[in-house]
Amino acid sequence: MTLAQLPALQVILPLIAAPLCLLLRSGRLAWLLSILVSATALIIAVLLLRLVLENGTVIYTYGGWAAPWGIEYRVDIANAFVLAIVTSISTVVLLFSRVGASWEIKSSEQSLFYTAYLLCLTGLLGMTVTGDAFNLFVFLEISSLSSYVLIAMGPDRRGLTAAYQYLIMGTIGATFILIAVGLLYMVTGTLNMADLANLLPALEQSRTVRVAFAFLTVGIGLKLAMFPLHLWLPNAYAYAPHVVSAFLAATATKVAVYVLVRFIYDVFGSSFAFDSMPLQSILVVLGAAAVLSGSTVAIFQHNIKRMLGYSSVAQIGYMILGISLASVSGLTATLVHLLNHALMKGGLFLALACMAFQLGGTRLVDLAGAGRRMPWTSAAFVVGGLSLIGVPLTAGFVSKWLLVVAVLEAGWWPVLIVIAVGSLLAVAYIWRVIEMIYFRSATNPDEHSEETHWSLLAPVWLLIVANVYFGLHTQWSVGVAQRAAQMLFGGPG
Amino acid sequence: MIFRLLLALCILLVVLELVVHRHSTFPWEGWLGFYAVWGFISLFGVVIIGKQLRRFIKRREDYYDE
Amino acid sequence: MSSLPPGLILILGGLVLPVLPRSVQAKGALVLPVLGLLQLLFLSEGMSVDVEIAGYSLLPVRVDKLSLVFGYIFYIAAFLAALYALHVRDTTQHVAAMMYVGSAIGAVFAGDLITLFVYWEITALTSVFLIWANRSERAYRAGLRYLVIQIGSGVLLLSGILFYFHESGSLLFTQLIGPGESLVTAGPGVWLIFLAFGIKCAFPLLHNWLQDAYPQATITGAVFLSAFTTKLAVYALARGFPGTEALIGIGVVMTLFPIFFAVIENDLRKVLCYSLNNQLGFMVVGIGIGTELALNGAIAHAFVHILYKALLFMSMGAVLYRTGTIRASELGGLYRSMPWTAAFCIVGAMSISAFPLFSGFVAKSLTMSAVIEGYYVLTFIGLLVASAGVMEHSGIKIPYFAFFGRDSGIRCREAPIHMCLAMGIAAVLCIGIGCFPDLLYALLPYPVDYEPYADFGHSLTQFQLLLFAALAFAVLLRMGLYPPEQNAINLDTDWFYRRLAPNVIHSITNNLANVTDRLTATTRLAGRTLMRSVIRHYGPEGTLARTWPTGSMVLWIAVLLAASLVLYFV
Repeated sequence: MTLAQLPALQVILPLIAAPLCLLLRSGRLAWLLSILVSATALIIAVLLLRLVLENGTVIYTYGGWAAPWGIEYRVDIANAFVLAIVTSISTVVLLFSRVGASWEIKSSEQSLFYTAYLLCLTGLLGMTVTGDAFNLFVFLEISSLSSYVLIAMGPDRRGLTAAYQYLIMGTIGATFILIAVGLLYMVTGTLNMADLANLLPALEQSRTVRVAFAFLTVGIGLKLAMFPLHLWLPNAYAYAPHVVSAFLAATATKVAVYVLVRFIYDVFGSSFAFDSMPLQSILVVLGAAAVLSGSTVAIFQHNIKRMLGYSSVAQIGYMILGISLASVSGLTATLVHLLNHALMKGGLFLALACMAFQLGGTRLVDLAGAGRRMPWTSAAFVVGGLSLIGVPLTAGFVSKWLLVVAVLEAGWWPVLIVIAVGSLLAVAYIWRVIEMIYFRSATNPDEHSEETHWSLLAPVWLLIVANVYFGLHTQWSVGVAQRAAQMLFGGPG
Repeated sequence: MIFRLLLALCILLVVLELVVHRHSTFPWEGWLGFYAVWGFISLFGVVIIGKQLRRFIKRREDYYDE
Repeated sequence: MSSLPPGLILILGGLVLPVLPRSVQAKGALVLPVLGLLQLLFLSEGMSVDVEIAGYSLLPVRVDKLSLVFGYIFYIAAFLAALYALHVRDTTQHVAAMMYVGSAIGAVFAGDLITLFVYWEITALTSVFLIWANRSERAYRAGLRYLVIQIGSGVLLLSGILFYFHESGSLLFTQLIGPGESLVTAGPGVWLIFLAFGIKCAFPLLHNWLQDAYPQATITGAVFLSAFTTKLAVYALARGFPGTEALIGIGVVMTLFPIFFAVIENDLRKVLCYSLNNQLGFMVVGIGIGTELALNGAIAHAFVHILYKALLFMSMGAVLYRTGTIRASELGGLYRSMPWTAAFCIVGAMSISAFPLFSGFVAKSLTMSAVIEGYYVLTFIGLLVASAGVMEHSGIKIPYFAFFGRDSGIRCREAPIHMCLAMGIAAVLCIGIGCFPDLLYALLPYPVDYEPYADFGHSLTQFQLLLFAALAFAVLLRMGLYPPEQNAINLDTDWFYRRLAPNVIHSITNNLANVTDRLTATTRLAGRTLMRSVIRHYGPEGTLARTWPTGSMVLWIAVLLAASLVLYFV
């Protein structure tokens, strides 16, 4: 095995393991296989990132067919960074789900669950790693279809309608992307992204390209729950099994954001997207609206999973704002927030899952007095919440700081106010939970009221500690994101 | 008794001023008994004004608890 | 040892306290400030520790004379307060107090704005537990209001830092307004930082969190609170805004308006809060004048004020501890039961009133000379009135209504021995500094060429001012003009957010609900007429009326796609 095969292995490994899980039938064995695969994928991603950071872009061509004709996987700093995020979150969530998933998924369905999980992982990794626009659509469908299954798998029957809605939305989004890819193929005759990037500048005035761009932004906007296309997300996150919420919240939207960044900055080029097209004003307005409306709605939610879902909508708003700045510093802020938001939301959803297992629900009232009954989990939730708010010494602060510096650079004062108000609203909705956990006593203390199992606590704290770590040591995260942003702007990889 | 003692002390302090040399920067500050008079007026005024203030801002103790 | 950030001993030590058995925790809290003070003695001036985080070079520790003097007094105050709290068996309070003190000390040694901000917020987060530890609904609400305002000040500070960094490219915490500039010409960053400091320093109209929250704190918590939060703000102003003219006016107003409230306040700890506010005004004036003499005055004032204000809070706390009430209307004649506490309280009262030979005098004289030196006539007159006001509420009212006056009939025991000891040490320090001012002057950042007792005339006029004020008090009492103490509260600016804002929001939501109700009623009527025929054909009512959320989502997609297509083509 040489390092050149790593991009292919990254995707093929979980793809092959998925049907194996189905054959294994035993939930325990399927879990073992999944976590082995996920951990290996993590190692591959780390190796790839190191390779890319040292030697520049790694290209893998399938079947030896050279680029414009065959499918190629193209790994540069930007997607290697995303690969590392996705695989590490996936591994931590799997660590959690040995016990965590057994609470929620029927034992007869556990091998199915891990099959769908690995397929979803395959799709997400494939979308990230591929350099082919049509191939991207295929992986998008793989990840989407498997995530519908995952969402519907929980004990909560409302998960079925949520999955159904997500399915409608996701299908429309995928169709839009397919239409866009088709239109682009029509005018350029190529599906390879690098090739598209070379050919498109000459076709800037073409109406077909413009329509393709419109379909593409809306289609991807659906997948990343860009306001006002976010309506599917809160329900999908709220009624899915807890581990699935954690996994999807921390990875799926992140990959979609990456795809948007890739298309805007790389394939179409920032001069087309921001100079010829009024994308900037659209994104600023939608991003700001997402921050304000998502955060405000979050304050009034009774179900904390829904609250975190709306908070995700707001956080995606910050990423959109970063993209809309069309500057290296803005893009850096977005990429760093991809990592940081994955860490905080993953940690929060997992901590909430622990509470749900012990206290019997994720409604706000269920958490009354949790501070006494589950001190460690509660503390984890508080630290994660602080990170979400953007309190210094946490990862969330680093993202906000970078974004604010980038906004100041552009002199966009109103956006600054939006960010400030958004943070204050975040204080409000996190405070509601903290007040419930620490200042209210439980209404009906039942016997299952002690701290959760250590094997659940360990992954939670792994993510929470990472939040603090990346709040203090930003050299790696900001450094890599910065290089990726410079590369996407056409600088040296 | 205490009041008389205080009064005596105050008179003594003003008398002392005739004996002791004191340095003054502003001319009015050097007037005999300026500090004594100003101290008396200030406290008197503060208490009277404060008393009037009560008319506007006094509320029952459970005002905010309703 | 010397590379350890000052304050960290207390923060980490505070975190370790819960491990100790309950009976030892209070003693542990007593040892920590001593260790901290020892560490401070090893620190050499000019030392600094810099690190690089996120590409920004920070200076978490900077030791100079200004930070050292605040460091010393903070540790002394922490020791006295911990001694006073030796009987407390509440883990929360000990941990919160130690972390609060530690972060306040960390803040005065912070060399950059980010570090300052972090400690700034930790002081807010930890100190609120000293209020909540009272464990009553009222304390919880007051604590929450306090927390919101303190955190708000931190948020303003952070936004200000961001702007300031953008303007100047520097994160170093030094003088933020240059010698030739003023607040008017400064950028928004400096303004925001000024406002953040102003909230924590209880500037007029931004002050009310202090009078609202501190009286709700626990007996020992109030002693801690009185010493650190506002003095941290004074330090920050002295570091960032020395010589900012606007501060003189702000300071004068600050010395004046609380004294009127103090006259009619019934809760004696709240009277002390108004008094605290008034004292801060003197320091702010000194900082605003900004000469070496004035800054020395402000800092010396902060130093001695921490001691006598803590002493006064301790004495009132002891009264509350023994009698269970702190309402002036229910107290009186306690000197029979608590002679020692009464004596210590009088020492504190004489110090704060600035009687010669007491600590307030040697500090306040510096500021007053600076005012005279700069020919600030109006300021000088204002401060004289304020001095008489201090005499009224802290010098006379506090000891008179608690320990003398009408006998309330309450007979209780003297304060516990450790409380008396803490008050005794504070009282000795007050008198000691008053008699030997050079001890204090040696600590000040600038050389002091001032001798408070050289001119006997100065002491004489001060005696005149204070005793004639006392005479006025006696005359008012005899004439029956002095407002009687009543069981009542007085409105202050907190009315705006405790009464007005909720009422306004309530009426707005009510009206909005009415409007929406009416609107929906109208629409429903129109819709019903329209739909009646449809419903007749397509089944029971409700099926069609229900909007499928999926449908509305798809609608949004169509809208957005259409909008972007239009926009892209235009």
